[in-house]
Amino acid sequence: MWLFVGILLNIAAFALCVLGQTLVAASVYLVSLAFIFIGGRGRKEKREEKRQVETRREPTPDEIKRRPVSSPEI
Amino acid sequence: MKKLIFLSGTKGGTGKTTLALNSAVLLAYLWRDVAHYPVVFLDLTPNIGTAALILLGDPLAAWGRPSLSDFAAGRISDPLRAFYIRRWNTEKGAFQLVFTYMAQDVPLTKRQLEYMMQIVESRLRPKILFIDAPPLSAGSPVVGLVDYVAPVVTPDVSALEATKSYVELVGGKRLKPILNMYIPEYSISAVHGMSWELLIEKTFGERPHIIPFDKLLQAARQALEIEVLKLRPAESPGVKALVEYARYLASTVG
Repeated sequence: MWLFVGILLNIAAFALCVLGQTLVAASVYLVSLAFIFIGGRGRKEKREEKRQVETRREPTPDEIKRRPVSSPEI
Repeated sequence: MKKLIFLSGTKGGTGKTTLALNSAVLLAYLWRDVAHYPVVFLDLTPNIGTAALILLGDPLAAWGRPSLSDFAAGRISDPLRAFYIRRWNTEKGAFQLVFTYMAQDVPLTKRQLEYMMQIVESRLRPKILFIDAPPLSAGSPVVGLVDYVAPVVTPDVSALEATKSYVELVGGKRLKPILNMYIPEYSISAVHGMSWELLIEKTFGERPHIIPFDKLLQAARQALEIEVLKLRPAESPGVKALVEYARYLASTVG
């Protein structure tokens, strides 16, 4: 979401620059950079979380072998 | 001593060994304070079955040790010389399982099996004896020697047909059937146009106990480990279902 807004602002800054509104374009450009940075960071965190959950769900035979024996839950 | 077998008739690969071994371990743990040797496990697979391999813990451990094959071939007279103990220490106390196996492919007669069962009952006094046999036919020595039969089928027409033909033949009281390796997304038998659950209920007269297909069970098997000792019911639906069936066995057989 943040990333999408950032890209839109970036395009708007470019358009303003073309129209000759350099000062306004510069401020919009800076705001767009901030949005893109926040959006990119959020995405990376999500991807890492997903990878961690996947690893936890499926231990390999080798990992199972190395686990200690635990009392059965009966 | 009650004698129990998980049966799929002539069909192999249905999960009989997984069910027998895990149930045996769970009951051995549950009854650890009730009897000194609460559970005895017979692996009748020639040339060492998977259960024996797992219990021995090392594929080479069987070398040079007496096994049931030696008793069947007349090389040892006391069958208990071919029995071993596997002991586990857990945070809630230690427990043990007595087991034996066939190291070679020597035919075991019904008379020998009956004699061995009498010796086990009189000297070890277990509560239950699990028999893990390879896919069996009418000539199997276990026919007529068991008290309980648990039919095991997979969602597969041939497994169902092979199992229903042999359940009556083996004798003993039929326990709740098990539908193993079940995938909920494929719940309907394309041949019968009916759900597998209903089909099994129609065949055996009782709704099956479902054990879902679980990749973790496959992983534990590759590691030659006993699933219920290494996986938690919370992480493995297969282990959860195995524990539920063991509870049912404890209330029915024990």
